Amino acid sequence: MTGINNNPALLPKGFADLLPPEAEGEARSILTLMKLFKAFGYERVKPPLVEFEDSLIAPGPGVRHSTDTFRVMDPLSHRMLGLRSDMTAQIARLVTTRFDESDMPIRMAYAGDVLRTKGSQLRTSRQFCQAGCEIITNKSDVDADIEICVLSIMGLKALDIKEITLDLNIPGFVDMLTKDVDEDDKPALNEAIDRRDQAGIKSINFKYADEVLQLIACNGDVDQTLKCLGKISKKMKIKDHVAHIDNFSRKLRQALEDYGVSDVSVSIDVLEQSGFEYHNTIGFTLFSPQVRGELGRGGAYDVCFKEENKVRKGHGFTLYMDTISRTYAYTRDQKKIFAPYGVSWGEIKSLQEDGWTVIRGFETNNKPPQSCSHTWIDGQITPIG
Amino acid sequence: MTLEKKLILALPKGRILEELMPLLEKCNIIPENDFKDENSRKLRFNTNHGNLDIIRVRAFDVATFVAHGGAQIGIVGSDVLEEFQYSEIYSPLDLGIGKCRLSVAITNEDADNADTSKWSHIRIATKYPNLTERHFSKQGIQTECVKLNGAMEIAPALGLVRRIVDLVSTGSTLKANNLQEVEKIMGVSSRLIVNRSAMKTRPKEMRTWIDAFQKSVE
Repeated sequence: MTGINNNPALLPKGFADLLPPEAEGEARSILTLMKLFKAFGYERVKPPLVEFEDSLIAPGPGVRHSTDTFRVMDPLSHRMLGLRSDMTAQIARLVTTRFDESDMPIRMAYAGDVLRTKGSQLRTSRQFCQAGCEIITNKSDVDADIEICVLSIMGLKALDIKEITLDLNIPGFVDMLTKDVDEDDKPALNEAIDRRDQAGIKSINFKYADEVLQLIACNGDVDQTLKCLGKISKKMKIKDHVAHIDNFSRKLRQALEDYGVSDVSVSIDVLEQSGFEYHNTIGFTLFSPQVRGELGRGGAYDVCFKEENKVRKGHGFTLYMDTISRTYAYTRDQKKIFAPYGVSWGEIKSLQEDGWTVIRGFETNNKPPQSCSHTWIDGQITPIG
Repeated sequence: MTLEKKLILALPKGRILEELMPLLEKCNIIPENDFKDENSRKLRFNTNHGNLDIIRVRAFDVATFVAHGGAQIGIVGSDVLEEFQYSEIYSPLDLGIGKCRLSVAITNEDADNADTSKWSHIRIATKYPNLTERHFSKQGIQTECVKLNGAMEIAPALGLVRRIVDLVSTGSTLKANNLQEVEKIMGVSSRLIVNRSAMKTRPKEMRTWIDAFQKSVE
């Protein structure tokens, strides 16, 4: 048996050092996003890394990541603390505790790292950055949902992500379809639906099997899916849902067109369910062929207050900065100049004003580093080598 | 990152490949000649479609390539899908080939003598540790899996374990090693699988291929 590996370079599984240029890339992306969100009135908030377990994992957005949350005992209060595993949960808490009715609607933006006890199959990192926006309204509001969708797409576009797909869903729709299914068959059916497994769906006898298969065949196409949903609504009480998503997709496409956003596809997949457990009315996932996995997701959800019957509506999205960072094409800083020992601060300032990154030489170390393409000699920009 | 415009179809090496060739033909997918040459060192092959390449990898790796988006389409046994349960894989079609079952087998001696229903903990040799553990934990039995990559059937006789979980088609290998099948865990057949992101971002191309395979099995 081997002993403990004491190599100081080894980090715990799922944790990594971000070095240049990746660390700067992420910081710059966050800045770009925050600027964009601010232009729509979303102001930045910064909740703490640690909260009491019961406020972090309160009913609503917090519950979803309950099993992914690191917990420690607080030696001061002797209560359990949770290290945040998702920022939306914290935003929901902020709304219920720090804002008044008069602040409505509240627009907030955030960016921060979250910590998970285990990675997923596709994201093995246990620490990654989430950046996003939330808007809180008194009642369900289509315009707020549209704003969130548009903003998420504009955020990705600002980060130069191509061929974005926004995949809409109706949270809870699968539950409605499978309401009459025998409890014993439900897990297998849900799994078959999650995998779009036609054979698996056919093997279970339930009322809406044909409809589920038809929805799969729609392939996300908005018009086909709406037509199919229209047919289903003759058998099932889903008229309101259909009207809502119909109206929603129309408004969204119109908004994107008006704002001049191109190169974006909108699709509808009402069979999408996992990860949207706390959402209602609308949910969405963002994809691009540039990277594997999801770039972000969002939707509408309830923000529950301590007072009974008091509920507000949250609309928001989160972008996964680790996934997004895989789309970056890094180029070397082209304009880097070496200023040998003795070059005045004034000269350095004027070089910087011309856009140069200046590396100063020291009396004891006066050699230009490899990353510099030029040297400042006798008041001249001189190429190296 | 550049966008890979070609679609990649991942196919499993070995036994299934023979059964698969007629299906590919019906879908009008004709790989380059090297593909049929088992000794070829090539791993990636052109087809008669400019935008479709084939890779030939181990069955377990088909699922991994598709889940991580290295390949957009693949063909793999339902046993492998159950073992990994990748959330990023859709498995729209049962191709009805490569049929067999995944079963628990036990030595003839144990089958005759031991009351296995009283066991709380068992050691099992298998290629499918996740699936095996899930199966037995439902029955309240804790499993300790010895991961082997082949020749499971010899493990009980050499004292590694008392049970194995493996694919069974005719049962003759079990018989030859003094084992008997005591429980079927699942039926197995080959599935067409697709990557979830690819399905969302390139729906039309992906649907064309799914439909082609669907027609080929009807």
